[in-house]
Amino acid sequence: MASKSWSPTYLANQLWAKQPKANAELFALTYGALVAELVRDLETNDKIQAELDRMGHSMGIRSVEEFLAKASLEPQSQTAVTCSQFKDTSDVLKMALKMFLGITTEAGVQEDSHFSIQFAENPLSLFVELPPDRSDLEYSQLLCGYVRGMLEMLQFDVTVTMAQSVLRGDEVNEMRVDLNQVLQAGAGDDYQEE
Amino acid sequence: METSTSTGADSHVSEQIFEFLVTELTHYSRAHCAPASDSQRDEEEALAMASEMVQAKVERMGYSVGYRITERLALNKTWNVAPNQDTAVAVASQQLEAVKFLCKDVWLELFAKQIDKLQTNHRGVFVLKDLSLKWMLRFPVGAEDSRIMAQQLLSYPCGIIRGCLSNLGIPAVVSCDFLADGQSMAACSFNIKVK
Repeated sequence: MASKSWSPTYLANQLWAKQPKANAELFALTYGALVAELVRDLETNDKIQAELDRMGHSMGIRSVEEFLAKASLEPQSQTAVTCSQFKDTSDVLKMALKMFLGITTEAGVQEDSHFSIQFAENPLSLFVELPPDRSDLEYSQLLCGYVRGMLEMLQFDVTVTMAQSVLRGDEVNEMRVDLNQVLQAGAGDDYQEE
Repeated sequence: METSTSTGADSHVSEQIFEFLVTELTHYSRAHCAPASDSQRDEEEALAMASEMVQAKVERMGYSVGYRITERLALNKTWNVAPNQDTAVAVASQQLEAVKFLCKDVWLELFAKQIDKLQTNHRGVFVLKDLSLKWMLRFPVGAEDSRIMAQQLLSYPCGIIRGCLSNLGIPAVVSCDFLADGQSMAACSFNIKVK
């Protein structure tokens, strides 16, 4: 079969099937306990979201290593997926989100400098209802930081926002990824090879 | 083929992301409880205080998770406790049942394995031994820092144990210990003392 028939969705499901699994309820409750603790410590929504974003970012950075090790995206392998353009990364992102969070995503807008991904289930917001006085809190900010961290490791400097969120009453969750700039590869001027 | 969009008891996330989240949780607690630079106290004391505060914070989060997850896991559980017994015996057997539930069902969800060894004096003290706790496998042995960090991370399962027992009507104090100091950080014991 030609390599083009390996769709991202198929690859994503294959990667997911091989992953060791953890209980999603436990994950959701742990995240809930963490957010509750942040609410107690930091008070304002901005500070809470900044902290969640930072946590997601460092989780994303670590996930990329795992992803690249397992997803075998090398050009010579059957499963070649290349990111020659920024919007191609949405396919790879689809695979990574399935592999780690088990969520199935659909592509939304696809433009040169931004794209969006939609997903129905959000493992972070299981059991969650926002109280009226915190209705503005972006509960799933961790996910935004997570995607930002992953893409940063792939040299893309992006801004990620939740365009739609089921918790806020929208029909679907939608994450919008905007490209700011493509970072320079390499270690910079400080590093000189011997 | 699309997989089913299930939510509830049979839904999963990857093991790594859960581990990353718990790591971030401990990391945040550590950053938040930085040692106070109080000139009146000496530095060592401040460090020890901060470490205790981190443990308490992580434990508190574990407690709330343990309390809630027990609600879900015990939903379809039938308890094997014989009724109409002498009270002291009945209480002891109830406690044992609860701890067994913890060792099997709860641990299975947390670490995908059961506790390796359960010891009890039948008077409210239980020692649970896990000889290879997954989260601890990559901790370096012998470094002073790593012991402190491992202890902070272990506060999370400690809290879960306390929360779980508390939901089952058993107030307890939980502490943890390393069984093979100098060889591996992954062998640890959890000591439960019913109040």
